[in-house]
Amino acid sequence: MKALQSSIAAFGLFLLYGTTGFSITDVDARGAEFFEKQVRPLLLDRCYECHSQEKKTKGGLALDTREASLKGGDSGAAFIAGAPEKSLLMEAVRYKNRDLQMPPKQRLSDSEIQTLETWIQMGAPDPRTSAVSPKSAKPIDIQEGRKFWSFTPLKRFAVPAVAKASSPIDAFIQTKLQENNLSHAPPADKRTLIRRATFDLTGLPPTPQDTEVFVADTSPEAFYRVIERLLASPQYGERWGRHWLDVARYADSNGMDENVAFGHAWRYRDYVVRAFNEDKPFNQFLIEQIAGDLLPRGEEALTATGFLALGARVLAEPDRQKLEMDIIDEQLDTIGKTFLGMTFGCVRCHDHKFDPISQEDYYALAAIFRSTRSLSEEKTGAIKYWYEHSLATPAQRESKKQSDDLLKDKQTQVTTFLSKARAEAKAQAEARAADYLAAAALLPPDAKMMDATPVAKTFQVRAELLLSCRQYLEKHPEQELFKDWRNLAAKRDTSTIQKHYGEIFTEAFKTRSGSAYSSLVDPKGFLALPAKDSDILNAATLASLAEMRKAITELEAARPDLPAAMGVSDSRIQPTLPVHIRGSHLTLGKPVERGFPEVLLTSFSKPILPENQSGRLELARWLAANEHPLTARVYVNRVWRWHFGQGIVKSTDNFGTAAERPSHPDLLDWLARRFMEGGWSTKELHRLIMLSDTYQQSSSPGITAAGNTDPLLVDPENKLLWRANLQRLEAEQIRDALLASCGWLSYEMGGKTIALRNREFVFNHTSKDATTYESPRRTLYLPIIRNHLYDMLEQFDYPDPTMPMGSRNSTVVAPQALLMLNAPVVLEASTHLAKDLSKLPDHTDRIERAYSLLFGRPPLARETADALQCVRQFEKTETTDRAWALFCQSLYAANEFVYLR
Amino acid sequence: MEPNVFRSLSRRTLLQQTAGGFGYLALQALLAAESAPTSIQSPLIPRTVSLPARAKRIVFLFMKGGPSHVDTFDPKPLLQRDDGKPYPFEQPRVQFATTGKLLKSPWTFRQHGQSGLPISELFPNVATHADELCVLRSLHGTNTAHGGACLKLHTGSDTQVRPSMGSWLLYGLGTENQNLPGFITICPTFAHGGVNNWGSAFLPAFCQGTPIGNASIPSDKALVKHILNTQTGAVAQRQQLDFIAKLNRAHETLVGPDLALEGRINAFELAYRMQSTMPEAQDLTGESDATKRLYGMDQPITENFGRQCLMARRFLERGVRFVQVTHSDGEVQWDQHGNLFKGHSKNALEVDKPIAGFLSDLKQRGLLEDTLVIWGGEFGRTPTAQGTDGRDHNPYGFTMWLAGGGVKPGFAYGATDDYGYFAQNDKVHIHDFHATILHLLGLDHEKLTHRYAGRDFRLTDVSGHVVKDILA
Repeated sequence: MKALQSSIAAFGLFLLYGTTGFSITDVDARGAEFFEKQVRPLLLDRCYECHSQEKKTKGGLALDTREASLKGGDSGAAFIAGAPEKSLLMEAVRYKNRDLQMPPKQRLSDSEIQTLETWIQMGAPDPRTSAVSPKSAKPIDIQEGRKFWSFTPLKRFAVPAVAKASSPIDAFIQTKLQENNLSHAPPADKRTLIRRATFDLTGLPPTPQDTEVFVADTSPEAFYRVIERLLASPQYGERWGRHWLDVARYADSNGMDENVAFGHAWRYRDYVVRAFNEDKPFNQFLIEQIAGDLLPRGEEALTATGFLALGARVLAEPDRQKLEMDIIDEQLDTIGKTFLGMTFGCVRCHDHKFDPISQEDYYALAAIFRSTRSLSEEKTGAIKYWYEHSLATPAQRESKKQSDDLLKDKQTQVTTFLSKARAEAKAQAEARAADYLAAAALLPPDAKMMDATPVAKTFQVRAELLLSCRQYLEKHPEQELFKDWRNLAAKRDTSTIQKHYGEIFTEAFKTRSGSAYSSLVDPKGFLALPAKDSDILNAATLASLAEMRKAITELEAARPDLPAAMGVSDSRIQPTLPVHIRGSHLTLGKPVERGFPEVLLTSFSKPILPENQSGRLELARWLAANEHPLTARVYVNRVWRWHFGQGIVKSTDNFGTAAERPSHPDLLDWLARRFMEGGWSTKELHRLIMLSDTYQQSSSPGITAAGNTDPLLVDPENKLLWRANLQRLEAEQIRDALLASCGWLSYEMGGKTIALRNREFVFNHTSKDATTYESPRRTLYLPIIRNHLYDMLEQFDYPDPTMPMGSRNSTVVAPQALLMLNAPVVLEASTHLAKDLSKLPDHTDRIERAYSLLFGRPPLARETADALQCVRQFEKTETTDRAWALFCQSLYAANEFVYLR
Repeated sequence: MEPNVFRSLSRRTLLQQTAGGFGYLALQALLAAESAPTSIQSPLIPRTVSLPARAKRIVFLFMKGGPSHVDTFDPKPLLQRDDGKPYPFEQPRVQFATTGKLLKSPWTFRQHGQSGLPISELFPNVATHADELCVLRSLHGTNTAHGGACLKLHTGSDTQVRPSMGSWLLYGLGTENQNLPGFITICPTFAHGGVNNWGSAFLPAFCQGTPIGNASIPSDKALVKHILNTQTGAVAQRQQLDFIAKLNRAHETLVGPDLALEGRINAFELAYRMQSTMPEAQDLTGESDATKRLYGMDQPITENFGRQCLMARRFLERGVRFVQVTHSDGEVQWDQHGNLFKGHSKNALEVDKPIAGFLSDLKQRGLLEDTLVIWGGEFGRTPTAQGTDGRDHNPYGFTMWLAGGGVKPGFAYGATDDYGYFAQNDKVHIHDFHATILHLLGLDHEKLTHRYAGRDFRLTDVSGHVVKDILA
């Protein structure tokens, strides 16, 4: 609308000059002089810094040429010649509108504002002729954009013919190696391989028995059998589901401004674990997460939409409209990074600086989510809540209603009890009204509690009530009833007061009328009860009250949350959404229809979205289509990264033009195609990858053959995969391996594991941490508290759970070492393992057992000797038990335990 | 300085990800052997900057909850005059809660020092330092809620997780003591942004703040996580470290030389040293009684915050780049929606003496001239009343003050409107504030960037101006 106004205004201005016979450069001399003397210096001094083509054009507005000034900025024409009252410029400089104040740092003086007003009134004469060519942003070229590798359709590459290649993957990898005069490292030894594969597929170390079975199995299918066993174990889903939770930025609490518990998030987590264990086709997995609520698939699919609901939000944002757009932004950014490897976040405010994604593209997607309900209607104070699908059965709902009713009853009982008790207290006070007046006579006008207490004791009345009575008498000198009291009080004649008012009040109680009676029973009168119950009720009453309240609290705490799943559903369908200029919902541009980013459209026709649905289902199906250039590429690259520690495209979450290009584009396309042909099966992809020589090679380079180059010089980052990457275990793997190796680990799967009610505060203002991590469960099931991660996770590069992360870091910092040296979980696991070892009488056996549990190999003779000597050394200052525990802890701390060769 | 200080490093991902503890130490030697460019250094080795740095380190005294500016450092005569009348201008479009009529300050202001800076009677001791303070009276942010406002103040963003200002400083400047963390936050609050207020977000992990304790425990019990070795004797632990090193060397022969493995060996040595350097830095027994009294540690009411400030001084002395000290009680902190008189009196009493002592101590030790001291909360409070004795959140105009390195002393800058609701003259946005403190440390806020998710990020997002008028 504003854009439209702007062009009309500009057009009108031209017309005006045109019809009165001026040429555009022909401004009358008086106007020119006014501009040069008054206006130009003002613009130069106060506006050009941010609004000139020479410097910046904030908000798209430049004021240093006539053309640009006439054109205006993002919000429309800066001024309408001759009409200062309709001019945005005047609105801005007058500082009346809180959202539009220019210059932003310091208001213009009144005379400067007057100057501008006069100038616009004059018709905004502007003699400037210099035409600085406008620094307009280069429009996005979609056709050109489509040529970028990741936006082009998947190519069909033939597997190169390589003599030694034992799998298609090896053929692609070896071709590139040969081009660089390199070759694969020799195969990893079997113990190294099974340790690598077991951690890789299940996140756990192989048991010594697993290892020995594999070593003993000399058949060619030995490794194939290991892979099948691991893929079939439920721990596989826990490990690979966890990978997915990284890109789904999973958490059990909101974090951000108000850290309240996502009491139902675990259902999404368990859904993901199940999906991997069942090898749910990835295209179906995708569709369920984006539009499961629009499929006729029941709870499972509703739960999947938790993907859209798990984002961190500023829940106490007072501006609901802004909050809704913030949520949509988070959802689009997540979908973009997770499924497309695209960064949509920046496009909220302006066209993408690197990728061919326009603001129209963004708001076309945003319109789909504007038609989606992500917020619940409920709120607590300023805090709004996310949407949830109720999964409660009618019986559960009925039982909840019953407990609600019971609770309400109990609360009513308390209220009744309390008002009765207070009424009794009031009646008691009324019965002793004369005594209160008498006692009050002994208090000074500005009496404090310390004055009232002893007097109250003498008269056997309530000190708090006495004090408020005295204050009342002081504040109401006009009351006729207390005229006598004032006289008698001055003489401190308490007995006369008692007698005099005793008679008056006895009479009053008899007649139940008259001014004395009204004063007596007035709830705000001289016997008004203090608000605090403890000030007026006796100990026994207070005790029963506390008892009743405690029962209510217990009842509330015992009431389970009704089963529900975080998620989204359709809301009122909005076929269009205006572009938000600079991302603000207060400056709206032209409306755009729901749709998908143009550069990624697989056909040339615009998508047709249903009138009565948000369009999320169509979006999900479009993303999951075989023709989509990005979805399969991005996903197979993720799986590759999670196996090898490095993606074919290194930036797993960014396939845009600013990211690095794939190291093996042919392999990537071949894998993506093969993946789709295999029915989008993740497990099939694992088999394909893990059965390759590329996966099974050693991490130590072989001896460089004569004539071959040293791989460290040619490819120090191992992009070409001339060896396996040395990989540090991830946080969960470290903790799980600690627990598993000392026999502590529980293999229980799924269920609610956060000890907080839904929406309960993780932290209120007290900073007291109520979350506990002392659990034998796998690390996957520990609460993920945003803003306050479990320290073991935090130190070992658990990703920030507010943003998708497909490629975790692997840092080495001193706090990790402190943790391995001093954290209770490490100390306890060490003690536990040492105790376990102590069952073996032979010390050499103990060391062998520890090595095979933690390193997956027997120790060398020299290592056994070193270990024995070390234990003996420890024993000089520590007990024998501690000495063995220290030995175990040393192995846990060693590089060999936390790195996979 | 370079637009991206790690550009030279980014060629080697490993390098970015393996800081051998807080410094690179042996990595350097390895790199030299690999004929690396000579510009490669430990990421935390102090770097020289091209802008003239006016301060070397920052201490941020954070008053959690939002102290009222009109009751402390921004006197408003018209507010006193018009007590009980309605605020005569338009109130914000979106309010946190509705507030009523104007509420005059229950405290009186007096002018202090040669500069004559007006300071209310809430801060009698800080007032003796009036001639050191550079009071910014025109701060403004956007977010009316604690969480958003805390995040905005610490990270520049209230919608997304971004690195905190201390992390940016470390990223740009490194730190001077390789045996201590470069960014320490003493007794921070876990509420309202929590870890994100000292997190490094997408910056390398070694840029994150190290918390000592948290707001729920007294400062004498505050420790870095896992710093104490409770089970193992000193002799045995030394032996254990040697044994771990031996295991690691054996492992190295299996896999060949590797930077990360080497870094991890050093990390253990550093961790071992930190077990003594951290407690030593926190140990106040060597401080004289006079010094403790200076910080108010002899009085129960000021003991806790005094200890925090004294610890901060010891960290600053030891070359820590950014120290945050949070004042936050277990209740409502400075958040007086009600009980303004009682609450602000108590809060001010708890911090006034310690802060004054801290400033004196920094000065007498010659630290004040190159240390930038920052005082303030996440927002100010409304001049209008909530109830009869309370004020609501006000991000539209509030006060922070600076002292020390590179700022004009005894100086007040900017102004709110006649009643103190909106910043009006020489407005200083949070981004401007960040741009200015980076400038004081010699960093150009437009050039201190980090490439993440396809774009270059800054502490100041896409705006921010250095407030040149407050530079000494």
